[in-house]
Amino acid sequence: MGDREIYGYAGKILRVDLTTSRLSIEPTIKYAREWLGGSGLAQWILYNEVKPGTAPYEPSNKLVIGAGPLNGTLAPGASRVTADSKSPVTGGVGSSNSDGHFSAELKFAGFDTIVFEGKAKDPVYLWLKDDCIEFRDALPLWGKTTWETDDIIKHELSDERIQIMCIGPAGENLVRGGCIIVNRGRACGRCGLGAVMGSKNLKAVAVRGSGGVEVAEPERFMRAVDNARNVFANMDEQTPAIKYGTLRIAASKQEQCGIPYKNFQYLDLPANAFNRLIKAIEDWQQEYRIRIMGYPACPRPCDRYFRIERGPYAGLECGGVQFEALTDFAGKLAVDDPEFILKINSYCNELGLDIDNLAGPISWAMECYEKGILKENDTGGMKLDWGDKDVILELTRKIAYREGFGRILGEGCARCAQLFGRGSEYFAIHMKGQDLYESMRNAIGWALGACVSTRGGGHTTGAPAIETSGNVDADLAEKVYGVRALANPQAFEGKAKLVGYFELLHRSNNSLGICHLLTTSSNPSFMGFCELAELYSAATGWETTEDDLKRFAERMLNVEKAFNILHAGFSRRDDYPPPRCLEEPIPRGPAAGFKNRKGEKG
Amino acid sequence: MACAYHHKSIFWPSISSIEIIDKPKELCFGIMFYVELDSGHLACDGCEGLEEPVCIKYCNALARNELTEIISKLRTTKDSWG
Repeated sequence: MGDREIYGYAGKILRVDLTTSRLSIEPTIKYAREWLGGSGLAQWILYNEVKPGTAPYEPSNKLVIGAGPLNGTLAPGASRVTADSKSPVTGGVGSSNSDGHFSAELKFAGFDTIVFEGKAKDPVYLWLKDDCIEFRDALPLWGKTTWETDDIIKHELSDERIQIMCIGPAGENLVRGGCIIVNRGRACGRCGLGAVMGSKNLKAVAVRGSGGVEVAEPERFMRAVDNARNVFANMDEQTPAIKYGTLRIAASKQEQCGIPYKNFQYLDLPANAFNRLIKAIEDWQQEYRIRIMGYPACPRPCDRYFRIERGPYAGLECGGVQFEALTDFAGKLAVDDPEFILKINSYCNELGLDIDNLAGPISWAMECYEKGILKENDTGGMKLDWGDKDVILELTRKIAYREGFGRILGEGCARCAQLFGRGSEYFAIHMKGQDLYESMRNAIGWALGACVSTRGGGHTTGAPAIETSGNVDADLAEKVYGVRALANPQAFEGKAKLVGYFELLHRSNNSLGICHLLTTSSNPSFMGFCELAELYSAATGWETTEDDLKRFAERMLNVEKAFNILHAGFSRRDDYPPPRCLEEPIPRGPAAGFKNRKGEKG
Repeated sequence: MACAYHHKSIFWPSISSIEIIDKPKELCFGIMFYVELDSGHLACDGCEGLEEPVCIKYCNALARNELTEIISKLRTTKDSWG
């Protein structure tokens, strides 16, 4: 070990006051020993520095963009960047994260975290190149899509290796589903953090670094890396997780009644639509030009970049198509045209709109229209028929630009239902105000995790996806998660314990900068707390056990809950699922007849 | 990152002998090797002494074949560039 004060970390936190254009730097070590980094560090800063009663779009709200101590190293999956703020969606914890090259580049530029506060007088973007930090005029970028913004900044700064997080028109227009786009197709999606950026007149953050990341014990660190990578050694382009990415889970989700259809009325797709979708996913591999994309240190890349060269969407380029896109568009909105899913996913990325927060209010509106609760005089004359592609495209545009009926839908299904009333509240499927893609009626652990998630909806904050992944060895499950009954998603036994494990694992990952898909979140054979603790210990030189790591995560969870109580007044009442999830049995499919129950012990 | 780490025990891409440039729109990566000391980048020595160059060892599945081919050529012609 050398004589640095801190290893693994870049060592500095940049504070940016957009109101005064003042910059300041503080040492990361002030927080790192207690809050790890990434989202953990961010949540502590927000808890201490944002006063209860602060509105999310007020200049005094803060936006914290962060890397973890393992980003910029070869630790498997060390590719996540986090964005945290007070959420304009829930009024409480706002925490989202994304893959990409940004977090490593931020550390190579010498910073672990950027804390934004205040509001710029005119639109700006922050250009951070090592120690040179500059506010640049973003007025010419205002109104541009995220892809245009990415291109223009790289061109303006004459470097295609610059890494950029930016917002599109949705964030600028303070649409609550406005997200932050990273590397064109990845997103800090949930919680409306793009709108927080927009409220600060901050169009983008661009970084380029020439430095390096030094770890405390190099040989031990590489042993830990090699050990963690072993399980991925034989994977290649034909491995389903790489070939199809998360799209591969569509079949098992369909079998488990895990694809919400028509605003969660059903939990699987009609057989014909499902078969067309599966065939299309296979055809895409053959017919479209696809490049599988991996992010730093990822031994199991799951992203893909499509280029469609024929048909109605010829010329379309599209990245970041994940399982959620199938759920939101083929599922919640009943779109029976797989190619359109690529189109709308791409359009959302360009506009900087989170697909869950887009499909939520539209599917609510379509069901209300179907049931006669909403009429054409409510919708600006639009007929909201399920799966109508033109309507979905037009509503997406209207939401991003806050036009007509889109202005209302952009508030999210919970606020829409509150506004319209007429019994439409029952069809607003949300947690704490956050629109969901999570099916909450087929799997007890998944539902519980999504319910108690501090941000509302929890696939990266506590919901155990492993529960519906099928064929997990019971002995291994017991060893890793302490729960044997994974094979039955409808069983209550052990599910609270399982969610407890995932709440801590996800927070640990979100603070270290690690992708969940490379950890026991995705497969019990992958990296768990033990491997993560060893990587962290070797990187920092601070001996940290598995239990220590869990304590870090537990502390973070407690701070998030305290933030929610202080800022949003949330209580246990807000941890109950929407009424539909408790009152309606699953109408069809392998789990038909199953109904979740309020007050069931687990 | 693996390259710089192999030489200097620091994850430091800007001194690495190899540079990967992501080109999503072209559906490809750009792979650049520095065979001479250049702009702070170390000259690639083909990881002399190692059975497998570290850039290949730690490469994800996507570019491993291309990298192997390039490094193999570099190793073959080492006398002319090393």
